[in-house]
Amino acid sequence: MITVRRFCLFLLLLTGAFCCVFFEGYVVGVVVFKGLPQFLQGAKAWLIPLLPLLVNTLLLTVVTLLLSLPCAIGCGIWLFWYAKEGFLKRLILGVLEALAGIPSVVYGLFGFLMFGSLLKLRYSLLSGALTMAILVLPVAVRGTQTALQAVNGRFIEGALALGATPTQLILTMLIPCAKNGLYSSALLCCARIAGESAPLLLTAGTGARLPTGGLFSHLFNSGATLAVGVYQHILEGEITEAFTISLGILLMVCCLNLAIGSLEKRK
Amino acid sequence: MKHKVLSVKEDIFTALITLCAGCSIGIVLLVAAYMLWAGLPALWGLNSGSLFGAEWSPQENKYGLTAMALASLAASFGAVALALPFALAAAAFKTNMAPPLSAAIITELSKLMSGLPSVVLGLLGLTQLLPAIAVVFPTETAQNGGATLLASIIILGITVLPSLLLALSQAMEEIPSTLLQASDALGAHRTETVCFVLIPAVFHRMIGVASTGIGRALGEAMVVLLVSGNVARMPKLFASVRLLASGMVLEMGYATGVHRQALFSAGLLLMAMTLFVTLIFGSIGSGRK
Repeated sequence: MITVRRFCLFLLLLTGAFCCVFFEGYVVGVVVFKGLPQFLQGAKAWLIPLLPLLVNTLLLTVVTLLLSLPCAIGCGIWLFWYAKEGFLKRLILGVLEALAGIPSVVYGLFGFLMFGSLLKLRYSLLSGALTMAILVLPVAVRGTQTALQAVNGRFIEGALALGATPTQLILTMLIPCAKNGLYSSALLCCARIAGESAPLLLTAGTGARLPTGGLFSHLFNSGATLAVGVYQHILEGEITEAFTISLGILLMVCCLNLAIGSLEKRK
Repeated sequence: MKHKVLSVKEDIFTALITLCAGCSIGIVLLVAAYMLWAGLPALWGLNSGSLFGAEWSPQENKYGLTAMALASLAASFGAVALALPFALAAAAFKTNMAPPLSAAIITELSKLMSGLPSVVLGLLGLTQLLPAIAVVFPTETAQNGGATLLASIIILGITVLPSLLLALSQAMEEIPSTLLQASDALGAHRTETVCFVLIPAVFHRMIGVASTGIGRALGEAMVVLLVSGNVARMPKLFASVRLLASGMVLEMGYATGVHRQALFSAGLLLMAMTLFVTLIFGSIGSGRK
């Protein structure tokens, strides 16, 4: 039976939900509507502002993942298999947890002084990648751990019963079984890198030129990622370009989300 | 013989893994130690006025952080207070009442939006929200064109909304369904079950989620940089303010000497505030199960 009270409660919940969808839809909608005209004008209108930033973003992402993923996966495996339960493990997990919550701009400050000033990398993609590697480290360790914990315990017991050594267990059982989880943790790191701007503004700078002398030497140039590019265009008053790049980011985030979603479904 | 080879391999692998773990933990400790080492001297070594003053003006050697810290707190608590009711209602609606299609739309939209860089939201705030505020409150915002604490609160609220929504709906999905079935069996309507059983049941999780949201809002730099007006003074709803995080981005590029140390102290303060909020509120949230 529908009473007045029930109807009011329903209306309350529905209004809240509708407002959420409205705000979120509004944000996405404005980005699409303001960015789409440039995309429809032809390749030149959107490729020129977008391409250098896209190259920078991809390069930065690849270098960051190369730097941080091996460390993080090793750390995740160590925490999962080698670390003994006790004070040390709890402490490490606590510190990682706390670090994951530290504002990214603080990492930017650290990278600015440590890599930019102390190691004399100045504003460069390499300095940005080193900073981002530290920033995503807690995320990647957590992701690795979650992926490993999702492995069926019976597989592990079976491998041990067959006389597998820890090395064999990890290389032939744990990592293949946790493969999808590891991929999706890497993709989450990518999403994080694509979404950060403040620490990159402080470390990788705002250069927006295409690499001229090979990708490796481009690492030592200042390079803006897509998100930093948006900020740079806003500062210069070029709102149209800023919206074009925003739409590019939106499409990239879309692809990342789809990839993560399909990995989670396959698990 | 074979066993010997195997065990050497074993040792190398174990050493490699331990090295990785050591590296990760070492880097993490290095960051923490370096931040303390670089930021603490300013706390007692600053000869010109204390950091606890209200005025921030590097030209006059005044490095008071109080105004910016208060503005940061006001903006992030305000933002979460604004966004939480909406997120709660939407999460409750999504998990328990919505048809599958609209639930999927809410989820996907939230995921998409939580992946957007905050600077894009800043761009939207700059082009859409500030003019709107200037139109709605013409007299209060005559001098700053809408770039106020209010704008920061609204835009930060929209920034944290999707992550609050996703975290809350995850919390609601973890509530045992027997609880809800019992309530239904007692004759409660679905809306009553949601409002009087489900929402109280996730209350302790809500505190944890809110504290994560506040931590995130405290650390957002680029969004507020674009909409807050960046004037370091005591927070008022219709005045331009500057928050800790955006102040650091704004001035780090050219700061030297004491000024740079003061910015580092600002970073330290921000870090302490975030840790305090997440740890204290987080432990309240997880403690009452």
